[in-house]
Amino acid sequence: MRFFDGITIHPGLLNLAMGTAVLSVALSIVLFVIKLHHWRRARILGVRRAHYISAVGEIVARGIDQGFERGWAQDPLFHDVLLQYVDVVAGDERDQLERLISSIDLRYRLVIQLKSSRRTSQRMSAAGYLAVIASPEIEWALIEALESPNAEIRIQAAGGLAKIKSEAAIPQLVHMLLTDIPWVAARIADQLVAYGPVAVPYLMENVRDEHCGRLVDPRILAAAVRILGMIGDLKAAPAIEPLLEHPDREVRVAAAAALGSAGTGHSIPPLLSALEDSEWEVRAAAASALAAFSDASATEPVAKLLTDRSWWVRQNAAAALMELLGGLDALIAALEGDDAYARDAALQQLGLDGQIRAARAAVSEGLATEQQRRLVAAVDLPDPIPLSQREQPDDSPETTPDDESIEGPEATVTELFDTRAS
Amino acid sequence: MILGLASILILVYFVLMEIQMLVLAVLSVRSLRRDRLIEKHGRIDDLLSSDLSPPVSVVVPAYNEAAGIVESVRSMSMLRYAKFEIVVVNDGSTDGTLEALIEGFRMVEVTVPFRHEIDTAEVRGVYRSTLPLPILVVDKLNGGKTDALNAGVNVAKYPYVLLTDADVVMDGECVLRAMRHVVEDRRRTIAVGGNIRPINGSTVNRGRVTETHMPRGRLERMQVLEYIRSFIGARPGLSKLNGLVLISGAFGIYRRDILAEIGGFREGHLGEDMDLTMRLHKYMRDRRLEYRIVYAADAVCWTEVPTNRHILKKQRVRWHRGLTMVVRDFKHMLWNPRYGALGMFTWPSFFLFEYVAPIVEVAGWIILPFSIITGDLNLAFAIPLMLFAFFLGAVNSLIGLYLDESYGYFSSPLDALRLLGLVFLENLGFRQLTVVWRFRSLFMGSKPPEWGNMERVGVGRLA
Repeated sequence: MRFFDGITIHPGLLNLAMGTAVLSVALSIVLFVIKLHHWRRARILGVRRAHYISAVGEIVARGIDQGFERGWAQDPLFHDVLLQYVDVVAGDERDQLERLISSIDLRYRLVIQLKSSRRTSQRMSAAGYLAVIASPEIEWALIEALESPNAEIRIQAAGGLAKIKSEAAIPQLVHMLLTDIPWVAARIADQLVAYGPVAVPYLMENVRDEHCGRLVDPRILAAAVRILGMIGDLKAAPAIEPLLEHPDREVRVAAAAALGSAGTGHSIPPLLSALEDSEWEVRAAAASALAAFSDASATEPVAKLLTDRSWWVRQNAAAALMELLGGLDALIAALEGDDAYARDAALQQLGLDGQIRAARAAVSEGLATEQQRRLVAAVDLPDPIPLSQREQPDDSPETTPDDESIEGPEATVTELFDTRAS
Repeated sequence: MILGLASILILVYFVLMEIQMLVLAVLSVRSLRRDRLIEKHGRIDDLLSSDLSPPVSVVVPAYNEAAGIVESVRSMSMLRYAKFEIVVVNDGSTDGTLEALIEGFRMVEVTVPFRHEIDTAEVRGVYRSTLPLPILVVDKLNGGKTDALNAGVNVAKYPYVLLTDADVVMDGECVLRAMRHVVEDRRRTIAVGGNIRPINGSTVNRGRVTETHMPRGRLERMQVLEYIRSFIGARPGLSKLNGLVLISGAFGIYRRDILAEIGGFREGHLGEDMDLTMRLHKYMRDRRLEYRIVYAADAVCWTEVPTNRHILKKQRVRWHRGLTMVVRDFKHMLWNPRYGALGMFTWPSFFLFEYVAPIVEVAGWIILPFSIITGDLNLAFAIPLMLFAFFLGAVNSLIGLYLDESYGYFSSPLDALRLLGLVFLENLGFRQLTVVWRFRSLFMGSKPPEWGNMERVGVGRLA
């Protein structure tokens, strides 16, 4: 193609350039049309949504005969509004909505959508809605959905099953804790916790199997114990206590943490033994668990952990001492002692808890108790080794809660539940 | 003849640059598709209610921010997340920043030691709010922004730290959306970057962006397009390859232990955020540890962009000088298979098409006209190549805009029309301006570190 006198443009390259030009202009037009469509749709949907909100509000207040039009049953936007209401109403109003849901066969429609829609987004949306309005009639569909290749659908189905407390699904849900995807396992664990006491016998089965010598995967065992702890069923304590001596670290950590919320007075001696465990996570969890009992017998053993080589153990021990009888004296003794790390842990706890400020105020007003005067004097003592002069390696190998996960061979159940830092 | 060849090579360079952008844009399309599905039907609320979500420490450095710091921290304290604390680091401010915080949040000094894992300037005191808000203030001697961030990391008690700026406006759910990636793969995820958007032109109400509009100024509009292309059109693709070169300093979540392990930010660096991201990659790759550094496009954080040429110039010069320092420090990672996709594709691309680009472009401005005058340039090739590069660049920007459309910002069609117009106008003036600044920055050396705060008009006056 002759461009102007003397220049012939390379035709192949020119076609390429012109093609790209046409593409960019076409894309611009398409984009603008999409924007216009979205803009108009947002306005129309906004009006329709407002209409539905008001109509469903009317139905909730006065009954299904008030202004409901059959055509709405087909509209996903109406379903969306309806299900938002389900989340926020209760009592008679909830019953009205339930009648409406049944009369338009909403569950049936959603089950069909979940099972046969080709679009993942449609199936995910159906699973999400079914989790909100789960009922025993659709239990089978939710159990089937636990096998879905889509993790989100599996989680939503588990949520629905937890809502109706489907016992038939519990063994499968417990087995799903073995998944290689950590966040799926964590969400499934959440759902099992939501089951509450209903799930306890099934979770206990794993613990009993372990005690009977049947091989239970340590990951499942640790997760089951954690969930038992979160549910807080005291009946589980006798079965959990022996697990503090389990060969697997994760199981021991889980057992110590669980006894903090599901333990009884009988759990104190095994927890005291766990304070001497070789793994720092177990010691830290045991110290925190003992805080829940406020038992004076734990004060001295926990105070010893203020000199532990792990930062987290020292922190948890100091926090536990604030709850234990005689713990404040133990913390003041740590301030007076010559272990710089124990002093740090005690200072951190007493400082954040406001004890030091309160003691200083009391001393300046002449209202201080003997213990407060001792605390102020101990805080003002010189640091045995100033922070800036300490060598980090002495203190840092186990300073952080997630150390193990840096080089760990695989995601561990502990990781899923690990909020120790809090 | 040589001039003609050089001209053609320069044009081919620009075509390659756009092809590289196109590859990233296509990868971004695939990456964002999954994110959108999860956001629409997914587990965001599950995360909020779950005790299993890892707690986060939000570290906010502040230097002479007395005017807006209380409002900014208050808005951060309303983030939707299960468990978090806010650690504000007052870096020796002289305008009463500390006093404003003490008064605003009824803070009292507390006696607490903390893990002194990263060296910083002396900490004068730690304050805790007596209100039921999880806020700590660290008061320290002036040491610069990086030093303040390091001090904040030392004091942070949770296993993940969100490093941000005092003057950004965060979306209420940004931490939730970013931490979703951590929950999905807690073992490997060591850092998550957020999506930074210009706040100019938008309406801010009670510390939240409530309406988004295109800004009025032409310079600001050009930057909106740049941000969309970079944060929506390219970074999701880089993240998919685990080759993210930069987590913006305005919003980055890091695993605290690894941050402390690599010594936090380096002092005196002008591109401290990119330097940190590259050091994280290097640390993990050198030890052959499995990891991922992720970009969360739906974790949105708003920041003010320069409103005039003078401020924009200072910002761009600073960015490019920072990049120069990073290139100097990490040149051994270029085309190094040991560093995987980062060493073989994303970092070399960044080097070639970000760092080298101003040199090539300025060379093009000189060589092309000269070679046309001398008749050395084969216009039959040059003209269509130039047009091809130009329109391919437009296609890349349009893909970014298409992806951005699904997030629903800029709801008015008029704003969309303005953005579409900019796609074609960007190369006529604005681009050349930034190239000149970046080119000049190459000869400025490395001045002593400064706080690097951009001069701002203030969010209230931008709408």
